[in-house]
Amino acid sequence: MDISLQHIDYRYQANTPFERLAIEDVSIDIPSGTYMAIIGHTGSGKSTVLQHLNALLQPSKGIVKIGDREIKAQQKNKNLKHVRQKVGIVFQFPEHQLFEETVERDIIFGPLNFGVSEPVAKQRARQALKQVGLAEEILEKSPFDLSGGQMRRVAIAGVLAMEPDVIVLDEPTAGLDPRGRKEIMDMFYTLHKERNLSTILVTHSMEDAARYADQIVIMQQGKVVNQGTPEEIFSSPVELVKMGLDVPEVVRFQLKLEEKTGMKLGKIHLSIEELSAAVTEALSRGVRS
Amino acid sequence: MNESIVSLKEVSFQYDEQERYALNHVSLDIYEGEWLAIVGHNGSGKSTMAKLLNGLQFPQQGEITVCGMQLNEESIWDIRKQIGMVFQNPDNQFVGTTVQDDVAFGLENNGIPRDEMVRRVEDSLRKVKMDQFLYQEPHHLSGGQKQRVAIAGVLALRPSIIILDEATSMLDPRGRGEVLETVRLLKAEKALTVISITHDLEEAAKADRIIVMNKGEVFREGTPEEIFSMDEQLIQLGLDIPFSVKMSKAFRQKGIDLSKHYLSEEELVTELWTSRFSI
Repeated sequence: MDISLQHIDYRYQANTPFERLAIEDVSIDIPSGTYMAIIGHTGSGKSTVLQHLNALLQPSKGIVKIGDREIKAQQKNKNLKHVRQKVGIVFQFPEHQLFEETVERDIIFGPLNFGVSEPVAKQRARQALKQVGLAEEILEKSPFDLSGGQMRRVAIAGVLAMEPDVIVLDEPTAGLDPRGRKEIMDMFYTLHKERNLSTILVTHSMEDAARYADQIVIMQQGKVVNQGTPEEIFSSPVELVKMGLDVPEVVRFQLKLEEKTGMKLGKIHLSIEELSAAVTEALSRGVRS
Repeated sequence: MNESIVSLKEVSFQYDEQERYALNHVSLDIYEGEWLAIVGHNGSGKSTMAKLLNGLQFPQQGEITVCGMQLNEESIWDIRKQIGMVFQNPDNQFVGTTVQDDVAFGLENNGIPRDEMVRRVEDSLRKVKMDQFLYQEPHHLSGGQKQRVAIAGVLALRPSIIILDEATSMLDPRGRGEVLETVRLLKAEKALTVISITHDLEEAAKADRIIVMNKGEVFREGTPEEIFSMDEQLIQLGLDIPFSVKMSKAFRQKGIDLSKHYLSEEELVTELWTSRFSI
């Protein structure tokens, strides 16, 4: 499902003394199957953009296209159910939205709301639970008896059970330990590939953006300031640093190394594996010449 | 070494209906003026420890002493004046309807005179760079901004110990840096003791001392250098190793002969630079 934001503005509390322009003239194309990372400071407008992706917010100006649906400013937008079902958002700390008596009831809540029959919803709950790496035994437990990490997974399963075509992830690993972080990110990546989903990841982690995304969008003060592949984005690290953003550690290291040794590696390497190979190669060439 | 400001002796704690002890016979001292990082995977017991330190939970066994007072039902109110706590999720600790009301909340509860209160609110918000937002409502702030307000709320009460319970995990890199820098300056100025509970090894690397928790026990204690030399063991504990150590290992696997696994990128760059002439 293609999503396209075309010149959208969003104003919080429009026509009041508290009016605030949160995003301005934002255009982003997300063709079906893209893994896109949206990066920016706290307050740069990332979360506002995210809420347009399944019509939780209606733009103050511009058009949002979600599949064949158009959401326009100043126009009543009804029947958004289909959109909301197709675009699943995993919010920050999704475990805070758990509310049901059992894990199973919590997971099937979404599908039931969208008109899926109970047996099918239960079937999906089992499958979703497996995808997030939890055992079926917990279906009958109260979600509130689980550990924080398990609760997070149950909440994610609730989104997966709606079988969305597009998954939007708002800092999905915040607060998890490094192992949990890697497990969750790898899981989303596998789903992305297997189900040919579109994935939109809002993150502060340059490491994750470099590792998983095909496309990166950089936001600053409510505007899109740069967009490209990870290679393109991280090839101009100075700009990122000027914006107060980080570059991945491996890029930072390459820059330091090039500066100190005068070694020129030609291109930016985005993994430890690639960089160490390139440096080793350069070193051995240096000996031969 | 400074005096012990917090001391745990043989402390054990178990949540209701859990078979395993969240903390199992933990003994440790935290020293006045130090920055102690407590690291460990989710469920290792580090947050439980934070909750015990200011009496949100009481241990089933063992003894906790804070600022010379033994922690019990009678002393918790005095102890809470000494320990400020910042939790992971700012939404759970934002009580005011505006930023300045939120910071004033704790001061009002403590009966601070109005003139002093106004001064402290502005001062602490300036320190976390949120003084431009005095009248903003919390739901208009991003997660990171809220967290800075929460930290200001603690700072305004001028405690002698501040516990950051994964308090920076929601901030972006600059925000995290600013908050940690603020805490560091404050600690230097006021001899504040900082206990930071974190997964972020880059943050832990800045601490004076690190305690690694695993399965409710103190697994290891040492300087950042000592802890990071644990290498693979940290990964087995669900943690991570610093980037420069990973990079060193990759170079070794490629046959570059390094003298050790480096903790600092600068040192590693320097060795690679010299090795260029020696291969």
